[in-house]
Amino acid sequence: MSVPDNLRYTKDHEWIRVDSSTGRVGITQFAADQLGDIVYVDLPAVGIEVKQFDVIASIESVKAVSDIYAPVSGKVTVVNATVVSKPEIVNSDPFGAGWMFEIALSNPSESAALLSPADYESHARSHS
Amino acid sequence: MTYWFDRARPRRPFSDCLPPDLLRRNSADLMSLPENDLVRHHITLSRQNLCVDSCFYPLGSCTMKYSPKASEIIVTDRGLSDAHPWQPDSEVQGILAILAELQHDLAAITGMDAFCLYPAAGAHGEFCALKTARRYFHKRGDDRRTEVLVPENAHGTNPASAAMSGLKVLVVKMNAAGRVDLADLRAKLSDRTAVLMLTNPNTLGLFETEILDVARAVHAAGGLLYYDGANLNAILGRVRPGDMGFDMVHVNLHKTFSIPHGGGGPGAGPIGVKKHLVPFLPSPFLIAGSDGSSWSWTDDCPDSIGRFHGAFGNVLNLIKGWIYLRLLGDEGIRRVSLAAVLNANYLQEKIKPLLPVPYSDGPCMHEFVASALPLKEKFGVSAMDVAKRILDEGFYAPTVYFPLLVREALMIEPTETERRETLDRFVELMKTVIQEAADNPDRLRQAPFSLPVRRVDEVRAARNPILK
Amino acid sequence: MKSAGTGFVPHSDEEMLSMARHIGLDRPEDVFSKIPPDLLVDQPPLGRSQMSQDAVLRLAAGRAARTRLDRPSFLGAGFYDRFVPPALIESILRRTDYYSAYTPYQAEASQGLLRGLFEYQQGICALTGLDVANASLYDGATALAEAVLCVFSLSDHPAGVRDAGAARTGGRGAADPAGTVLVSSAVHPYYRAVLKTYLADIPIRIVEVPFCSEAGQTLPAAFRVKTESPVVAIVAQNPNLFGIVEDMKSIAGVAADLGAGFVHVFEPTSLSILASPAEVGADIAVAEGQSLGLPLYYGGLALGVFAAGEKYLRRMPGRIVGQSVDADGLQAYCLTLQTREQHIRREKATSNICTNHTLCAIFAGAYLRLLGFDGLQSVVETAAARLEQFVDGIRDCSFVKPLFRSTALFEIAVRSDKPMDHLPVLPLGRFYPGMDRSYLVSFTERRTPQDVDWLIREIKSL
Repeated sequence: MSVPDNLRYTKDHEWIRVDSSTGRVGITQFAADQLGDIVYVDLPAVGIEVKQFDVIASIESVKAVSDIYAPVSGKVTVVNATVVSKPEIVNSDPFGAGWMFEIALSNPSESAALLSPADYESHARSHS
Repeated sequence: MTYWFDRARPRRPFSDCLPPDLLRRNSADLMSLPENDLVRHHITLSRQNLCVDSCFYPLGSCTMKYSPKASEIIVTDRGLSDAHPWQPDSEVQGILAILAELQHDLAAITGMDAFCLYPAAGAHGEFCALKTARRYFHKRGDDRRTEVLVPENAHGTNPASAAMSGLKVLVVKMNAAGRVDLADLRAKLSDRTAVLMLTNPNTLGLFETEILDVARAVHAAGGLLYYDGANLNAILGRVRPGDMGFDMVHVNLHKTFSIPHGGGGPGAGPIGVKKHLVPFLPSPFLIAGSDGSSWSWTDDCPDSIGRFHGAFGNVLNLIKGWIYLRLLGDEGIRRVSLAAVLNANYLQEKIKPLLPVPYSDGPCMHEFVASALPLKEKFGVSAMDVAKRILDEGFYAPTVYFPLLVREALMIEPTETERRETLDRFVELMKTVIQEAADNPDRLRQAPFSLPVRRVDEVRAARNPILK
Repeated sequence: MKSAGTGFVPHSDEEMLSMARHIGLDRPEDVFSKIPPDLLVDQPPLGRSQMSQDAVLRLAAGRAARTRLDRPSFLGAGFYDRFVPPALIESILRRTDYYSAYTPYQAEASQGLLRGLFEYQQGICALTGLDVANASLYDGATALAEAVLCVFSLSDHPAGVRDAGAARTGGRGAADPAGTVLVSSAVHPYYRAVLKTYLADIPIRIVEVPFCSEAGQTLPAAFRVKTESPVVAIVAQNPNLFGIVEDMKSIAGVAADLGAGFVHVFEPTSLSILASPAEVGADIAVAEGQSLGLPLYYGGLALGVFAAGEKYLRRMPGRIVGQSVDADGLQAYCLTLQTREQHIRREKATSNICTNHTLCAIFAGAYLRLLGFDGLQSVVETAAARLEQFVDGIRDCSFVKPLFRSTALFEIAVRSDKPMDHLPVLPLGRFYPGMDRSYLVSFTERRTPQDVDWLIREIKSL
């Protein structure tokens, strides 16, 4: 399993792509595979403010529901309506079209403390 | 058209008595069918279900035993079916006597001091007991107790009931032997502990042999011990939760006490408590008259948590439970648990060569948990696939994926009402299915083939809900 | 010792011994070897012997015979003496393929149950006009409590959002409410009592809104009260406990103004005449479903009906059946949206409900199909005709008068200067302190004109 190397990761299997002070967030292939067929994504409301590692969203398969945690603090600016109407996209393209929301970072230094692609990969491997 | 009763119309139409805003504007299409066709429809539909009366139902944690037909017959008596809940107590003494006697029997069996028959299901009983416990603590000025301890392999209703009671859930780990980890329990007990919820035997079908130590630890911390009665069948008439140190219990009439499952309900989940909790039970209380032979409801229960049900609980099921206990008597009750546990052990011994039973350490109780993990790893066949293939052959499948502690779990509970021959046939079926997993895994992955429908697309149902 | 059949155990003693030996045990009782011997009880648990089926049936018949059934009943208030269609008793209630089946988790082996429940959901949605109905809760009273919890879990109040478990515990006690629910005191007193019990340990305050003592209705303006915490839900019942038709549309308007969810308690057959919950703007509608043709059983074959607007779908309690297809593309049904429920969401589930009232729901769904809309109307019209006959009949009686001036549909509150507690009517003093000389007289389609005449004569002869 390899993960895109332009992203940062969390222990709870979220990824974030940071462009200056905006971050785009999704879950990893590993997480999507663990969940199985995704049937529903409950996205945050645009405009809400969160602290790093707050519960911000949730994602469901037929038999399980998982919380999604904010990788960084900030304000939600955009959500991806496509994953609501077509949740299967999270399974097929979790790092691309299956992104979930974007967040305006209130504390850009937080993302540096997240897991690197290599660290995330070994973390995920140890949990499979 | 309306030939079920004699139809009449009021002289003044409703439109004369009520303004248009209060009257229904559009009629509703209720998909009406003539009686003949509706009967055909439901007879046809009913034949599309597997039921206990037509096949073996080894569903772990459900105790799908035979429901005596004597119960089904007697409840058609008008004196039971036509009794209105608001009739004066003097007009329903027979029913009240039944309820009082049932309360007494259940208390005797479980070693409790009083029973409350209102809860309509096990989860409802859990919720009722937790609220009763909260009121008990509140009365003692002990409002800090806001935590409920729940084992990690507990049924989902346990934490959900705790949350509904405004309590915080702490999970207690299991040890390697599949039982409550005493050290972890002790670490989590505190003066904020309200209740530890346990079932014994637990959801792995194992008797919690350290239960007296568990009870001592919980009581020493000032907490209460609650018995989830889902697995009572294993110890019926032989061990009383009250003797194990439990302060509160619920029983499932639709499991241990033979009430039919109804396709999902109605059930009944009466709760029992020890003396110190009696005043807090829901109102009204059923009390005996001074002559000892009449019964009445009283609202004179100042410490009660209040009403818990709109009427008096699922009385139809309570009556069936009363009948079952009379049919059983002392001889029957003890035979039930003996045969239930013997049947489970018989099956366990025969299934063990076929599939691992991860937490087995000697005799199991009334159920055991096997794992289809080897089939998954070797042939890509899951516990669900095994279950669907079993359904194909006219047997109901064991419970799958519970408890979560065991991967690809198959929880098997035969109950006491099954013949040895049935158990042997089930084992033969398991052998066939497991061999098929190796020889022809697709047959399992695509099962069932012989039921009214093939495997249902549950993903689609969840992604695009069509609910009406 | 004991022969096969005791306890419905098919094994003889010899068989059990043989099975025990087969698995390496000396005696069957050795299966209990892991239980600490101190815990094993020796004394007989019940203190009585088993009874034969004949003996039990006779005993039960004797108990049943003590129920007084020698007069027509004019009791109502949530439970009604309905005509129970024999067709439904035979094809549903007594049909073992329905009643001895398990919950339809294995969809392929339960299509009949699932379809029956789906049709129930369809019928309830058609009747209420609302978007979704679940596959039943326990009874009307607990359904109301669940509805309020559901509204609270979806409310905009921060304590109510998403993580319902944390919201309920969040360190708040009842003294520090996160929200208020306004409840008309013309809602059935037992429903209000159960709601109070359910909410006792979570931070929702209940405020009762009095009904107008002349009209017997709850005036919409009465809901505009000042409260300490935001009003999260408003509850009213139609027809109310006094049988009186409320102006639910106006009450819904007040709820909308306050930004509160409107929970509508209804009586199912009356929706064939009265404005539906959807028409009046209700968010959630709940009812006691026994009124849909189920036998009374002392209130013990109840059915919690629950329907709601689309926005509550993901936080609705209870099981829900959905339509899908099977692997061959054929229409098929299954339990769906299970992630709302306790077995998945555990402490974050809106409700802990697991076992529900499936058999009753299938029956109720069939009742709706059997009677159809016109049939439901005839249930209400016939009862209303009997009520009219009664009101006409007591008009010249000087000591009995209707208590309220507003229109009652099929049950009516009367005040009597002479005690009527010995008659088969419901003393309202039992529900409302101070209403000791008032009685609720309820009519159903089963009351004949002769029954009503009998009651009138009994009253006039007081």
